Amino acid sequence: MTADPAQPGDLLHLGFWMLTSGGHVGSWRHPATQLDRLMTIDHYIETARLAARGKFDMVFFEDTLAVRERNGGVLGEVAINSLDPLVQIAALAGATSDIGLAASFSTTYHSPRVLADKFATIDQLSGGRTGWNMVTSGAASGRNFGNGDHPEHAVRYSMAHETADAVRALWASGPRSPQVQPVLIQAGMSQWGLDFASTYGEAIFAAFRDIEGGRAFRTNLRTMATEKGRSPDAVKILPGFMPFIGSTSAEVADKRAFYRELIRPNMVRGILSERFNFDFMDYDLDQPFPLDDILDGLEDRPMITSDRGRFVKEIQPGDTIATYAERMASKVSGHLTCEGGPEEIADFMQAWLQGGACDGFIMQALQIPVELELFVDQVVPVLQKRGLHRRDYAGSTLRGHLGLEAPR
Amino acid sequence: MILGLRLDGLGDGAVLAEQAAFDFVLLGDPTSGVEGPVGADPLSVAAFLMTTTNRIGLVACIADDWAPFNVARAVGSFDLLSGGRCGWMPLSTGDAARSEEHLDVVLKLFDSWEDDALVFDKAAAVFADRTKVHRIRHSGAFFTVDGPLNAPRPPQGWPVLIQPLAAAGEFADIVLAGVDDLDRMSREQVPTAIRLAEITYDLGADTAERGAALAERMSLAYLEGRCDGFVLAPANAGADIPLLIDQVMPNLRARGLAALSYAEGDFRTRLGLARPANQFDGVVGP
Repeated sequence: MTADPAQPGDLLHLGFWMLTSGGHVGSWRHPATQLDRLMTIDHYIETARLAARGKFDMVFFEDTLAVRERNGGVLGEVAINSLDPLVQIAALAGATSDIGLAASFSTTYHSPRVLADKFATIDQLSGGRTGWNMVTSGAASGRNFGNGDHPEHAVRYSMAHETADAVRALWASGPRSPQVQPVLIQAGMSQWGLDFASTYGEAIFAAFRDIEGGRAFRTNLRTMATEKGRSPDAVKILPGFMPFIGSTSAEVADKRAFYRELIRPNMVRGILSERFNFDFMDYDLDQPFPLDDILDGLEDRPMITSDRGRFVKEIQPGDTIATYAERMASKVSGHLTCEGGPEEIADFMQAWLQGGACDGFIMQALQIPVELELFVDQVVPVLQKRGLHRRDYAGSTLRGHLGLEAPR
Repeated sequence: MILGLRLDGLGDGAVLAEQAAFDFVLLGDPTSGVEGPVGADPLSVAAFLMTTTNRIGLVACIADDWAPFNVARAVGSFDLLSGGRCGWMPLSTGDAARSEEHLDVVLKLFDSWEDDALVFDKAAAVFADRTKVHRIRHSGAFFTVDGPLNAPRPPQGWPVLIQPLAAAGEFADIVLAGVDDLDRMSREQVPTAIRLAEITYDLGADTAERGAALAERMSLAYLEGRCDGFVLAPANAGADIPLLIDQVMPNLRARGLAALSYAEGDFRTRLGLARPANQFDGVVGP
């Protein structure tokens, strides 16, 4: 099966990932970040309007159902990204007019009735602009829902199938919005995830190492969708992406150094403590990575036992805590990154689109609003000039922006 | 007097209610979230009204078959994002003991972050003081919830809590009863909460006459101290809300019983309610 490269004239589909202060873990310490506004709706309205100025298809909210923790308490060194995403998109529906409003919400911890009701309501209020990212939720959520045993992977996906069917049936029984039903979004690249995505997913939030990996995934998923009687174009693949925009290599290097400086040693210690469920707070970052200390007594920290092999693999001979942490940070949580001036960023995006490796991106900005504004003012015009991005919205539904047909 | 307006569906009428300086709108009814068609979730409608109005209090009915963690996060997020305009009215979907425990868990989760837990110290790279964020470690007959909530304490401490008279407990800020139940809502029976009576009204015919009678009935009950205000429920939202505002509100204002504009402060403050203390104040560590 050959790859299915985008036809000339195909547009990029862009989602903007709404995190409180930005995609960089140190963004909350950025001088331009106004911390007292981070939890006010005005902050999100301004960000969504900025994304709408850049003609993004949608803004996108993640969802978590537990605090991030280290050593038995909250991870106090990082910003919160966990306000209720449906309250946020409902509020944004009243303050924006064209841009799509997508939110993650758990299939494990909400009933079909609740999910159907909330999304159907916001879809009407917004004139057909909503998308639901169907997530099954992480293991840490269980203890907030009376479930010491968070359901295992296969069970969560079987619940997700049942929930998705039930939600769609409830939607079909209710009032129709201008886009008929919310767009179904899905992330997760396991075998269960792929089966779910090819059955229900209309936009797939993915993480790829390289363009070949993207192309193989996209080809496979389009084939799987076809086998299930769907059009291959009914599934849009949107990898996560965060650009480092700088006109010269010196500017990029300065920006990298600036953001690296935003991560203080206590933040590194805190995040590593969370990752390994181990207390790093008194360790010197320049000392050798304390792998033996971590593995010692691992059986008493059941949360991470299953990750043992992965953790051990990540640590390289000669690593200090600092070199390990730096290498982890540069992976930007598995999502794509590129650097350069506006033309180079556009080249990267174009290569992925026209290489058949994606249909667009879900983009993070290092900091909100500074780096989003830079993208909107400098990169978006280049994409528009190349005919890769809309100059204005052609419609006012998310389904329309994404080029998706209404469900039958 | 304190005045609320009940809205149904997608909340049409909220802008008019705000122009008329109603204290709050109340979204949803006893069937919300339990039965009835999908597509009119009161909390989502109230959240939408957060940006289409500016000052008016926004109260949503929330069925308690939604897990307490979800309820606390949604209501708390709403209060944070709106700067303290949120109220909520839990609707019981099970037995009374379960509903009571559900509310207890939600209030604990609101309190799981102390008021000054967010320190925002850029220089020291400390976003939150982890010694002021607490697990609630709730384990009861119906719910087991560890916490903490993944959102800081709402600006009102606890968003304004409305309960129906039949289910009102010690934490109710507002108790709501039918207008025919005023005799069961004396100050002896409801010692501290704000007592509101709900009146369903229809001004579709004999408008002037019915409007005057409604204003008279409201002012009499209020001046006799039988309640502290009303929730007005239009029989027909499209027609009855504008008629209420044109025909009844001027009458109440002329009697000095209805406000012309909003006072300063969040919803709780404007209702004259104290901000609840945090039950975890003084607890050290998670």
